[in-house]
Amino acid sequence: METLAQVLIIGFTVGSFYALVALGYTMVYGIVRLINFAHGDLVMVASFIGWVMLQQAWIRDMPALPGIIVAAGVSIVGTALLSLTLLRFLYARLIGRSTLGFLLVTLSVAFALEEIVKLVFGAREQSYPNYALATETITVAGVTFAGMDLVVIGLAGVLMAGMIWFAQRTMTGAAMRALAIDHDAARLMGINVNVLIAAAFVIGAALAAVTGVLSGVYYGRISFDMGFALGLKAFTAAVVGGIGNIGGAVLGGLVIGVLEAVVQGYLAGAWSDAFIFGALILVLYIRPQGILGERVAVRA
Amino acid sequence: MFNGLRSTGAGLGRRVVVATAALPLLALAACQGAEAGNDGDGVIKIGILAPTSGSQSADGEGMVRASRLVIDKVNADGGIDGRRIELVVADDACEAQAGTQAAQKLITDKVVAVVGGFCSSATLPAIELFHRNQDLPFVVAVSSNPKVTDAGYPGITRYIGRDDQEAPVAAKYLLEQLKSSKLAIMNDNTEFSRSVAKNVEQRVKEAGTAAIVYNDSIQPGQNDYRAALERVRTTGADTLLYTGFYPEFGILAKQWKSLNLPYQLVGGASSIDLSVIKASPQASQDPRFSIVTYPTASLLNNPKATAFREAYRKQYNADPAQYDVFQHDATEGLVAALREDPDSLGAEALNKRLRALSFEGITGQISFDDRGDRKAFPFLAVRANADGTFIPVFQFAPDGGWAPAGQ
Repeated sequence: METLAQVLIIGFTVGSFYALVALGYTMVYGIVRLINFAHGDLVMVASFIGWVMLQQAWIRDMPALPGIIVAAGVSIVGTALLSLTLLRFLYARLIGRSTLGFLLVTLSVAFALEEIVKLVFGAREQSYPNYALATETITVAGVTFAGMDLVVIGLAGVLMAGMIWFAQRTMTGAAMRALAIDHDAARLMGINVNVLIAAAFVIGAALAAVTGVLSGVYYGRISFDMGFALGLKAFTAAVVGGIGNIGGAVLGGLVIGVLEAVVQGYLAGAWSDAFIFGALILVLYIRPQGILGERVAVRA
Repeated sequence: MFNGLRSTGAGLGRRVVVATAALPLLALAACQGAEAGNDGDGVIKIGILAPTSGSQSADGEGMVRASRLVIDKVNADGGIDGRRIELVVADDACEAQAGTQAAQKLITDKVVAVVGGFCSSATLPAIELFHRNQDLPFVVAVSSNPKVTDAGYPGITRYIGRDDQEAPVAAKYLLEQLKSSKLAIMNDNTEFSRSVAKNVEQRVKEAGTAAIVYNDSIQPGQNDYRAALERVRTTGADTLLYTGFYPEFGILAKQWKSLNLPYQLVGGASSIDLSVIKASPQASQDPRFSIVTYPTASLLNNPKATAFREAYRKQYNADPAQYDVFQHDATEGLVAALREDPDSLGAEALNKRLRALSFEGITGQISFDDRGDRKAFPFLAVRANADGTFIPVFQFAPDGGWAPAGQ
């Protein structure tokens, strides 16, 4: 019983990371109906920006928590700017013109980002500083878990709730939802389409940056190739949950995280990827639109 | 699945690095009587095959430096029977194709022998080429792939251990030194790691003193292995052996420590790297933590090793790379074989003398079996100390088994 509780906590922690990244896929897909395959590598770039910041003497002199917050802030701004630059100079011309072109360009950007980071920082993994708060553990009723588990789950929960509130309760969110239904009608209603597309990319990048720095602080290890597997699993999470649906991305992320932990904790670790992608196939077979997805209307 | 493929690829890459890091190729080109390398006067050319460019260039540079240190001294002392030794460096870039080209360059340059070999991927094609050129002597320093000597070519002598020596030694360590009776074995799903795990399992079953309560893979490239570590705890294991590579081992060690798990944690020879200490200084200093490893440069504690480190630092203002000790011993072995009979440097005669060598090197007693592998290859079990370096806690001697490491 304690083991099950422990495995579930681990699953929720891992799932929270997947969910935060899945939100980025779903935001962009919801608005432009395209998959940004470079999204996973934005997480990687973000964790390297955070790592570089944490090496700076003036941040090292700060107490741990403010230092991490400053590094995360710089990483959020840097990653958002990178995402905007890519959108402006590479993606924008392809949106609405070439679906395959967009996929290929984002895939190329993913590999380019990996190679650039490898050239600059080397192929070896880098280590985040060893924070005491990353190894603190709490034991409740025989169940041991890390304090950071609560931080990760809590922070992800707040961000995800904020996202849902933003989409449902704000004017910009409503405009985004309108855009998801019909670009032309939205434009006729006076919605600035390009600004909203940019907003979706920026929000996705900011969530990626939080994921990257948080993962570095918690797990300690970052490497140039960390984004690809993470991105693929988060994408799977978004599809399982119903891509384009914010709640679906969260649910999908948690499902995949828990599945991974349960397979590792009870079945065979070597099979965890087989189970995850098997689950993807099963969900799509039964519900092609994903767990919370709605049937996508055919657009002119 | 894509993830699995990529991760496996990365794992293999690392393994190649480890394997090849240890293989200095000291090949003496088999020169005919009239050729430059063997004409009774003038310089004696020795080839160095090492990755001086590419991902392993730091290790390759180190190997060149280690050989140069030995050869400079020989030349300063009057050379081999009055003849100077000249080093010809060929870059194998840790790749099969570049390795073939580098080997060809050494053959064209008429070296009497080659020393080096780091990445097995580059060493193996070079071996074929040397074999076809009258078995040009190739003193392999760092490549640990069994195939290097399994071909049975007379030109090969190898100074590092074989990959397949690790499992029996690790099994002995777990059973005899750590007294494990309930053993858990974890691999990282790569071919190499699985085969070590399988061999350990077999040895433990043969010994019959311990039960294997867990034997499973983890998927490399993930960040959270706590669920798997937790599962090992529920099996009641007293010791966990991980046979995979260091990036995942660093994470395992960190999470093992933070969960305060009741079993001992042991890493295999692919798990050693300073990044493990960085990942978790607390875990790597824990008395229940250790890594079974080859005796590499920073781990050896004998007068020869100390002298080598000091001379290296003096000449290059840097510490030797981990596998430089094998390149050093390989170069010394080649020089000894050259000295034995400076008038007969043909491949056949030289190969016989290289195989018959018996001397005390930095890495222990060196002599060879009829395949060209070291007869007795030492291992160490290490743990981190407070300074953030690994120090030996136990040592394995092939005749005496495991014992606490003497200072």
